[in-house]
Amino acid sequence: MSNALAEERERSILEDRELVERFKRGDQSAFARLVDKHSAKAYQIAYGVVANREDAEEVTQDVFVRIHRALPKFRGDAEFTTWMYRIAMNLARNKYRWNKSRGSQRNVSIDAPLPGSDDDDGRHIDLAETDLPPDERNQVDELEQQALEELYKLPELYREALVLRNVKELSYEDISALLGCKLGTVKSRIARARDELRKRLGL
Amino acid sequence: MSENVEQTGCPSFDSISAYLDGEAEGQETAHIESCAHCQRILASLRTLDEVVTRSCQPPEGLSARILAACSADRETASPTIIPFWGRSLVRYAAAIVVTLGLAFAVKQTVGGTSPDHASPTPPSPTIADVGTGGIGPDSNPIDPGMTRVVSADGGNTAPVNVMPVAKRLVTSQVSHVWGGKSLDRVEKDLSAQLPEGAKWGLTRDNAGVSIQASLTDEQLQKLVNGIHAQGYDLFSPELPQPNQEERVKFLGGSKKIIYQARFVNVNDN
Ligand SMILES: [Zn+2]
Repeated sequence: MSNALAEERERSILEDRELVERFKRGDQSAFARLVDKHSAKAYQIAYGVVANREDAEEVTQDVFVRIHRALPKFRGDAEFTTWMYRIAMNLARNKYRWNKSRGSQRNVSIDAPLPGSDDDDGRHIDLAETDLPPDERNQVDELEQQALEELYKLPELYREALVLRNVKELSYEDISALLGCKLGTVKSRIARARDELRKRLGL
Repeated sequence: MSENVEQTGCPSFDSISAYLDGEAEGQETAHIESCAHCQRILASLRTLDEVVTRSCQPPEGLSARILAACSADRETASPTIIPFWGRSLVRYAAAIVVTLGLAFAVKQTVGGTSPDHASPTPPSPTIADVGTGGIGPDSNPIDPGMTRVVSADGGNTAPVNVMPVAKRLVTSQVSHVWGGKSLDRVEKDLSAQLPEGAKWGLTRDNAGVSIQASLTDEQLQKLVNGIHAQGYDLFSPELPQPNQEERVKFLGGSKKIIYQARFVNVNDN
């Protein structure tokens, strides 16, 4: 990470810390600022995992409702965004799993990562065969829509890594902490997701 | 790993991808910046990144709706006004007070609430720290009864109109995802919670446990409270939520709701 980025990040962390403290002292506008600052990132994580707008918004609202409740006992020295990303990831994954288990007859389960990958996770990977619901189709331009559909079809492990990368301030190290895997695994999952997507989109 | 990386001396596709994220090694950086072939790959990755980023943009007014949801969630707190929202909220303050009054009345008539599940505070914040309830859209996201906020001009900082909190009916089919530290006891825990004579079934697969039960809305609320009290965390925002009877408009009577619950292990990563 460049110095300028590192500095910006440091400033942002300090600002979050101050906002959390102000909220703890009863200043609700500090919470509003936290929401304003971070809700788009929570949404991006959720969207990438659940792959539809309605569920992503539901998850995002839920993330901040839970944060709002728990913030009074949030430790001042912990990083707000790390905590928020983890909640968003957990809630989004659960929503995704739920959606998947409802349409499980349409999913193909394979036992190995994509061929050619050196992923060391060993978890099962499900390839969702489900298309986006029709009402999702009109909201984005053709390439974006196609990207979304292909993103949705990517194995969970790869999509999650790429989507977390999409939240620009997350480093590979942050992502590896969030996903609970090694740095090298993050690098290869992101690359793999990009490689698959650009082939499928003809880029 | 990609057929596009065929030039001798070019770093791997993984490295070019890492370069895009500012995570490449020093000697790779020098090559990538001076190699036309690498630059072409990089250009396609930049385009891809833009498309993916654009396709995941949040809808307008998201922050305002989040704040409204948080406000509605503070059902037991005094109805103070969030300054950020500006004056338009004042007009609705009276409605909120009335609704809160109703909520308390309902809580008293329903009765039978379980004691709050005392969650331990782990040293670092985790999902366990953030409680288990949640407000969010039910199956119908634009249900007028919902506490949703519409921004006056679509901007996140504009004053917003808040609809009063309203109790909602439980939908005829409810789907919940629960997280548990261990799933071995789900069957035992549930059979202790389900009302006598209730119809229910349980299936287990290698990813979790699913149950389906047919219950009245009041029975379902009690079941949800009971599951929560046994230490499971509810991840779905759909009503009913543990110990939040005040958000539910109970029908009474014997109309049955199909309840599907999926239990997943939360220690899997
Ligand atoms: Zn090269």
